[in-house]
Amino acid sequence: MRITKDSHVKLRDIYTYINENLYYSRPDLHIQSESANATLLLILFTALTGGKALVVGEPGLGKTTAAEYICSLVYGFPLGVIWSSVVSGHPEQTEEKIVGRPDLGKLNQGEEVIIWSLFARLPVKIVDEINRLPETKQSLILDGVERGKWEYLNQSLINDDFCLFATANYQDQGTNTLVPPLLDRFDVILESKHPGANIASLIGQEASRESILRHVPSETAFLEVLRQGCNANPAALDQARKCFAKEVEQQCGLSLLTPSERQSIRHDIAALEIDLAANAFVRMALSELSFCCKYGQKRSGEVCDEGCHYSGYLCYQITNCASNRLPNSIYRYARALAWWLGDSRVDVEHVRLILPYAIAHRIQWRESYLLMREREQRYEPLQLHAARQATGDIFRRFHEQRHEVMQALSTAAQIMDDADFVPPKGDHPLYADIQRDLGLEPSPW
Amino acid sequence: MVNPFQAFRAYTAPKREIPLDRILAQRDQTLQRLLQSYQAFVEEESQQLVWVVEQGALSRAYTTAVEMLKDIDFSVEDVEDMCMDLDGTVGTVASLGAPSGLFIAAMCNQSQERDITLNLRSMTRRWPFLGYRLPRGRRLFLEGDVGDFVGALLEGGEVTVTGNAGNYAGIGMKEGRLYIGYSSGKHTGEGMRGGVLEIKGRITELGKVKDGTIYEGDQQVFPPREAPTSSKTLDSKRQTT
Repeated sequence: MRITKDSHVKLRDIYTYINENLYYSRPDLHIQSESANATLLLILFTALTGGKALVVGEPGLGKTTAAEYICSLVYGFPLGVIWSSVVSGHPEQTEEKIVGRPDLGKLNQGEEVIIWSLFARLPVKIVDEINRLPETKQSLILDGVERGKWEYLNQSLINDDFCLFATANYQDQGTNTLVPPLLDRFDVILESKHPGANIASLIGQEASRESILRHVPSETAFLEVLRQGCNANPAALDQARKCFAKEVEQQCGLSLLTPSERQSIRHDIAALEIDLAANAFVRMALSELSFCCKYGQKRSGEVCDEGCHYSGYLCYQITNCASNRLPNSIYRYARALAWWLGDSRVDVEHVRLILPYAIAHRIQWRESYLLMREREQRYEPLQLHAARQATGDIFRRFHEQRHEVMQALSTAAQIMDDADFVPPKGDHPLYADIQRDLGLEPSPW
Repeated sequence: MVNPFQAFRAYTAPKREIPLDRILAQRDQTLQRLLQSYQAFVEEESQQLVWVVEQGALSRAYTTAVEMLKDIDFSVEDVEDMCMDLDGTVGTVASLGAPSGLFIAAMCNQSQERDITLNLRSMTRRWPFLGYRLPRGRRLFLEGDVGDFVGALLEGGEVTVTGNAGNYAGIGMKEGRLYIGYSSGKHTGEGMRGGVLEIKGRITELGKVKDGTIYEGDQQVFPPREAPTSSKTLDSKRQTT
């Protein structure tokens, strides 16, 4: 594996700079000998790997600004450009404001030309207060969130490289529920926490530092080039980026990533191997989040019976099924974490740390489970807390029988290759999944 | 169809070992050696066409057993395991009455621990000669009933039986203490030359005791205590002379 040392150092500098100067936070994620703020770090991973993050929190706790700072420094856009592309969620939001609009001048001449919005065009996408979008309008951004594909008037724009952040306040009078298909498209959910009285008291004592990331000449140059639409000159764009990078280097002492460095990092992260134990752990988690002994798999609205044999596992506590986007999200962020720590492969510990953030917004719990968790002392929103406890439970089960599970998977591999072995048996839902894969369960058809 | 388990194909789980496994393996190994020694001992003894309980045969068999156990490092738990094997409850080794009892006695005398407890309640056999030649400084606790010849030729050790004893309890004991919680059979204390034999219950029949002290309940039955002579009687004797 090739780790680009310089890029690694650059990114660590960016994280440290934001943490120390722009987004004050407490470290709440500890791994190996390192500590970091999970929200800031996972926002960084989102920007780096082209992920999608939903950032929740109380108003004014830096949900949007954290994403803006990271995106500005990772993608090399001045804050002003990013602000121009931010979409705000409100009931009157329209497709024309979010995606694009017809070029009215050209339409008068009979030409159908689309002026794509900056939100649709920039690789950095921030939807502020997404839960103020009515549920009917949330579908406007479903495809864009998923594939980076934006459509308007039979024309489409596809972003090859993009990351997306959406922020949401906790439920109040003006908010709507996020529909499950939209929620599922986010890789992780993060909470922007209050940093505590002592750290918070530092905010505002010094002159605003966000102006550091504002550089009007670069912003003007960027917006000028971007206004030219899809015909924008890449060289001019690159020139504006270099101008901003130079400014940041002078002001903050940070050297920004070049687009090729960013691509190289993304390639390195994606190339990291998942070790067998981590692989088995993910399988155990997925089986607990999708298996149903009675109905074949979990389905929204189908609640399994009291006294089910598997009532000790998570499948009994949830009422929906893990989607196929979940393993993708887990691996993406676990790889990024391993890369960040300089590890050569993804191990169980990386997955264990990432899992709560990847499942918290996707799982729909039984009422009784949430009631039980609600009474516990916690430092996170209930959904994240429940997901973290659930991850701990899965990890405990994995830890107790990791070798048995891995041996069972090995045996299954050999049976599939026609070896004459006794099929593995065990109590975990994963064993039942293995039996199904080996065709050992009687077919209902 | 793609094999979703392919990544695990070459995986082999490491052999899981907990400390108890190691201890059990060690005990199994020791027990095997003890059983082999016993087997050799039985073969040696079976060369005597008729096995007769007499001093020469006992001494020879005991010496052979001690010789067989010489190089084996065993603990009291191994003695108990061996008893269970000989009892036929867990093993298939032939139990041969007197030779088996002598072998167990030799184990008790050669084990690392100085205090040995054998729970005989769960066993069906009543081996003779338990506590045979138990040396000074060692204590043997036998829970339940025991067979004949318990504490034979005791050499200073202490044998405690919580149940009943068979015939010839304490035969030929030289010194030490034999305590029997309930009753003993015939010839109790036969040829006893020293030490203390305490029977808390009843003695069926006392043997020909040479020396030592024997109690039945709280009462000393050997040597029989003479009734204390009064001073009046002594005076009258003097006058007569």
